[in-house]
Amino acid sequence: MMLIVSTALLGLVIALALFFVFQTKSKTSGTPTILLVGPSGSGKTSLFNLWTDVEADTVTSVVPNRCENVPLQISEDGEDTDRFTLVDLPGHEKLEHLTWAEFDPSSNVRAVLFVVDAASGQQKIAAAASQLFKLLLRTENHGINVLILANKCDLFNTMSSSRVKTILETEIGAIRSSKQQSVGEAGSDEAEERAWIGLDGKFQFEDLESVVQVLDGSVKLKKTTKWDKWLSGI
Amino acid sequence: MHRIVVFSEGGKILWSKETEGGESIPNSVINALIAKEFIEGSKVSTIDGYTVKVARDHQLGISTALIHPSIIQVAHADSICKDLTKVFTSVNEDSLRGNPGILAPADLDLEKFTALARVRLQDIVNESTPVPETEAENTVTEGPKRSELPAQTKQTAAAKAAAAAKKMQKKKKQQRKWDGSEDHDGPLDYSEPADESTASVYQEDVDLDYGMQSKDGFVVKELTDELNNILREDKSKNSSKADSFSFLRNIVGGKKLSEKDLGKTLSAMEDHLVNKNVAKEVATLICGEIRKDLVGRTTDSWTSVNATVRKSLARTLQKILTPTTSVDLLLQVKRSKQQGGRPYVISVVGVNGVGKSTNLGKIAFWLLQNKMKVLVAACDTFRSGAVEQLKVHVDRLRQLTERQNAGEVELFSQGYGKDAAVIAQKAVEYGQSHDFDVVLIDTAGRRHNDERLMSSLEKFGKLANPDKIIMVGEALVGTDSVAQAKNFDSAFGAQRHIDFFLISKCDTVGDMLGTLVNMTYTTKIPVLFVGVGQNYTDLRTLSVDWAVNLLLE
Repeated sequence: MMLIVSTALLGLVIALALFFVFQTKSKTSGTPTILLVGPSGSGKTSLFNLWTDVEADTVTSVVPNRCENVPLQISEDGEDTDRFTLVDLPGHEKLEHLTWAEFDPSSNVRAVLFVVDAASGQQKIAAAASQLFKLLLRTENHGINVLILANKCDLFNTMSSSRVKTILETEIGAIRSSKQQSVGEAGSDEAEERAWIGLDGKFQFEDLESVVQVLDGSVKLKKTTKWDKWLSGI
Repeated sequence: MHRIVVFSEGGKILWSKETEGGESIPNSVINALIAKEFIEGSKVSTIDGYTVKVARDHQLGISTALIHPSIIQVAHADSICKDLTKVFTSVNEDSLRGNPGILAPADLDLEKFTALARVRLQDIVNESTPVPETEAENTVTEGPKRSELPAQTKQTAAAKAAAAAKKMQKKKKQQRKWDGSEDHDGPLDYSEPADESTASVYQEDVDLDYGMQSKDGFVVKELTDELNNILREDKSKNSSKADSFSFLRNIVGGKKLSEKDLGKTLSAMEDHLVNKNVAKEVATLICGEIRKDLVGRTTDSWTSVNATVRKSLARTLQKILTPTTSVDLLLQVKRSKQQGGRPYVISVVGVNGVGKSTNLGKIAFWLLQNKMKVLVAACDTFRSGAVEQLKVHVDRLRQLTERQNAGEVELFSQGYGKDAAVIAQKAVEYGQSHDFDVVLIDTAGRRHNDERLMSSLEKFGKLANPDKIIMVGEALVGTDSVAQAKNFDSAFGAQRHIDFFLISKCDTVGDMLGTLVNMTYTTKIPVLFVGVGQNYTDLRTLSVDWAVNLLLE
């Protein structure tokens, strides 16, 4: 009787231990992660599919897509070096908390790719700036590099990456100073420092502490060389 | 003229078929459908002239949408979406249980699904004879009779011939079933002489003759049997399998959630929400959403059922409270100032005593701090003392701003008894001619169920034409806030809505912030500001995290 009970207990302990080991192993935290962020319809899921070798047309995402061990860094002799967890986050404003949740202390975000549709017109690009501003507040805090992907350079009405950069910088400059003059947020201390990124004067990505760059390309045409190169450098 | 799409929550189109001919139906319609129905939580039936129907399997994250131009009707759209979702998830269950991130259409058995779907669609058409609904503008209403329909499933030669003649340029039309004989390329053209079959209701039955490559592998009889099994399959089957480690699973996680597991926790959550001043009806709806989201899911490792439900509740509240578009009021005022012309007009409305004038004062103070020239218009011509009260505010604000060398402020008033809408209009004109940047309009408080007073808001909205209408609601009110928000939102007519809420007196309720949830959930209008005290500086923008944390406490 004693034997049965103790065997059962031992078995239970081993099972629990195995379970624990298995669970911690499968947990994604800690592995270097690259996030795909940006407004809805900019091509995040398409790019995710391209990099994870999935062929599928896309619609608006409601949940993040996650894939481990994606070879994103290709060295010059064609061999991949480091592998990353790639996370494609929904772009809808109401789901932005899913993005911010990726920045929790246990995660290891190596870079954020902010995808914008360079052919969506000045207004849409400017609208993306408020999301980018919120993102930069976090990445600056954590020292994470950001690449802005001016996607859809295949379309006839596309804007150059420098034009996209100017629009975003101007808009972020305006948002930054307006936030400074805004009434404080509920729940935060009045004395708390207001969110501010960059230097005084005109806002420029170059003034930020982490690297923020804009590069063009096209997911549709699989023209991602510039982005690949940037990723190899991180 | 219709499209059926099966897609994943991650946004991958897994299967899509469209009838040939006519314009193709763009993905943007599906995107709008997902945004409205799945994310913003409002029901939609038409988008851009298309009628949409969707069925969603929360557990496996698969949805099926049926889309067609609204000018035609498609019979049984509801059951088509539901059944196809069921068939799709059943055929591909193993693949769908894996990581949805690496889900690829290539890994799925789409051929089998297509074959099954095809049989199902034919059955749906045969099973229940569509009794054509007549469209209002349709003058020739003699639809196909019940008795005629069985014959139609194999298509009468006459109808086939008629259809073929009409659509000569299109070859693949054998299995299309036309209830009518109309020309779908010009569906509104009634002038053409009708065929002998005379039916002219725009109704389309859905079948799947999209030019399937092979049906060799499948015998129809077998397919039908399998199909019946799938559709009869009871979802409860899974939960009946007793999990011998169920007691442990609640601690270590990996527990499959059933209605039963959730029931108790959810009713506790509902009570919790009600205690936080969330209206009972709203709390029930929110818990219903969580139930739908969680039933059949497996809990994460080291997560109890309770914690899983809390997590889901947090996500849901985040979604409800986060605005669809970020509103930076100051930035918009500044932009309008740069453009010149009409001043930026902001108007506050609300029930009596919620703090319209006080919060108007706070907004004015904030704008003055930013060196704006502000005109305050006293359009409460109803309650005695209202104009004087506002005058006191303006006088104080003037003293403050003169001391701080900030902006400029002035009061526009025309006494009592006059039509508020007209005074508001005059105030805007005055503001424009005197170079004011902003006009803030105070209105009379009104009970939301007083039709006489509420009806004057529509005229007010038209004459004053505010850039932003702010509804002030007090955090104290609780359940009634649902009706308040609804009635005020609809009072401005079909074209105009409230832009955002300002929830006052948040300092008096502690963590009972249910009013925020009530108002945003019922109207989908965001809360921009919260009032947290009596001073001019006690105005804050809403922090969603702050509110969610307090609500979950």
